[in-house]
Amino acid sequence: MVSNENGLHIRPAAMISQCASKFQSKIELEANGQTVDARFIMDVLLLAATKGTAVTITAEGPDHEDAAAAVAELFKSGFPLDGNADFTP
Amino acid sequence: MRKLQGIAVSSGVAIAKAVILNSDGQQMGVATCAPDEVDAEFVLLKEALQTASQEISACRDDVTGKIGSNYGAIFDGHLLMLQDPNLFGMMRDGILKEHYTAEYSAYAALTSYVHLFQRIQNPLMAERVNDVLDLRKRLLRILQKRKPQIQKFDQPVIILSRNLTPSETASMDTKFVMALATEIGGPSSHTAIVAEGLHIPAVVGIGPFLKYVTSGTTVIVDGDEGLFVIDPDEETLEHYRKIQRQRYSLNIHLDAMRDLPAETIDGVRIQLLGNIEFPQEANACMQSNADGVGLYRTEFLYLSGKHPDEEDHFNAYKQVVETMNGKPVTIRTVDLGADKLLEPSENTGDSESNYYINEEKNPCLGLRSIRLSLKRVELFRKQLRAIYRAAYYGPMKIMFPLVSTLAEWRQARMIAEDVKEDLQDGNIPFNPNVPLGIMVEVPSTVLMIDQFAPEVDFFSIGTNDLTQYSLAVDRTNMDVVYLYNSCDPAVLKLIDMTMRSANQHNKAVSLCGQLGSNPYFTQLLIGMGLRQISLVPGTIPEVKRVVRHARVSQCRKIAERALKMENATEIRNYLWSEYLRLFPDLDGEVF
Repeated sequence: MVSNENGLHIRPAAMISQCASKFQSKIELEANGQTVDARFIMDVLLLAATKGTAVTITAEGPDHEDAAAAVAELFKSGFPLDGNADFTP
Repeated sequence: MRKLQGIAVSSGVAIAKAVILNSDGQQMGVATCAPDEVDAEFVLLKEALQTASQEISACRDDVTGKIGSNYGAIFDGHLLMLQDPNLFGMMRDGILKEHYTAEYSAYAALTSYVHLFQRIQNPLMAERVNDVLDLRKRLLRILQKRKPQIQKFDQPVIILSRNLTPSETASMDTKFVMALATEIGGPSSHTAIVAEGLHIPAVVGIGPFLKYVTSGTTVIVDGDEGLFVIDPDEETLEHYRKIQRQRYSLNIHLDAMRDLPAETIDGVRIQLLGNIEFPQEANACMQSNADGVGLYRTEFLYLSGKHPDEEDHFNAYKQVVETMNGKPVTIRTVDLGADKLLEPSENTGDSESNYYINEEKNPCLGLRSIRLSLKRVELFRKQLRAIYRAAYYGPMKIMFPLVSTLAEWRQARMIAEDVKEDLQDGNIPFNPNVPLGIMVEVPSTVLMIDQFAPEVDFFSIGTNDLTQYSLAVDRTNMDVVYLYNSCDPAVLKLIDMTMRSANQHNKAVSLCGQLGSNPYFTQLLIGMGLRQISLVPGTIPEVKRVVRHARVSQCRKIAERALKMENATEIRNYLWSEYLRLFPDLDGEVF
């Protein structure tokens, strides 16, 4: 579930793609009937997932458990920034 | 003269000559290269990407230095978008497979993303198209070996354009660029955000206007009302010049007053405290020389989607107390509805997360604020422990929100006492002398105020909720919002009852909510007996100016008269006229 006020805007999308690039597994996000590769920030942005959108994370590969858990943790923690919790960009 | 309405995204008023900035490189036909040039084109593309990355990094550092890393982060996003492997793949294949020129290949790949973003229904998300356009413009410019279009000015100008990209906005020379106006764009675009960060007045989404204006024409941007005026007549010019003069003299005046106390002419000191939410905002309170924090909202800790633990609470509170450097901090225990507190998640072993909530028909009348704290005592205790511990580092007070019965107050107080005993037993450093008070925001509490007064240490009147609950009106419902008036006579009567009872029992009262931040109401509040007002830190100077021009004797007369009036409009107009009597030269300011 996307919990932060402004949805998957640039900063959260950047965090997801950076995180996903660290794993060997292919990580996919599914929302609003679209499925995208989490490594590609443009595609993550194109999900246009707003607050309250349900997102399904699937990972396939040698480190799929860690990979899925790491991306899920980002969603759960609301994409924290140092200090101010939810700045727009 | 032509007057057009747009969307106000950055406040302020400016009058200057127009400079039209072209949105170049919008359209491009297919361009291919000879097979033996393919490799050279691919090298050109890679070099251009490299240059673009360097430019964006420099832009990020520049913006971060000027207005902070939160704004700089926009360009970190651009950098990542530029490095998106899919995007690169498309540009590469365009050259290697289709034999496009580097320029056309970059254009085609980014344009396909532009189209995808334009199809998004949600306006907030769709505005990211502007970020893609920014990348396309930059990359094409580099490939065409053109220098960035940096305009040098030697006189004040207003920039007009069909659209401005975030990086164009960020590179504006704030010394001469007085304002921005664009045909398209929306309130949550990065361009708008950067303009606000730079304090450049801006109006966007005006619609097609460039055909009516040439560079050199005088234009006005009114970033407060979202107006754009081309070739204004003398009357309009004079109107806006007057607004500018007033702002200018007001700002100088307010700055000069910063270190003077908020004291009336007849020598009564009024405490002006700040409302804050995030710990960093304590700095704004110190900057406007507030007498303390009168309302520290603590909901932000819960909104990130995970549970704050005691240390999260403690660290945030300690930071505020230390920033305030001995000035008192009044903290409000969590004021959330059950819906906001937790979203049950299946994957964590955390038992707290598995707490299910019934869907509420009337969340405003439901399980929220102190009711929620008393139901979820373990969360409440955690917060109270952190407050008592933070109070070890500076003076604090605790207030409970939305108390509607004596039993709730007594139960909350009992839990607080119990928490203190625990801390004592655990030999944990804490401050046992933290005054406990309640928010007065439900009419039932006002009706029972004589019973509360002997027991509480202080009251804090929350005018926003008090208005909502006494007039039974949802301030977010456009159909009934006309009923929502914090200066409705019924609300004023409730405030008056509270003041009388508190004075009888010699208990301190403060007031927070929109009523406190509005300088037109300051004399009324003083006249009703308030000596502590908590307000948005940025509005402290304006309210202080009223305090320093007011006399308590006159304020009492104003309050007496306002309390006899029959409706909010009458009261509002009357208070406005009394405000004008303090500052007669302000006639014409918009109420």
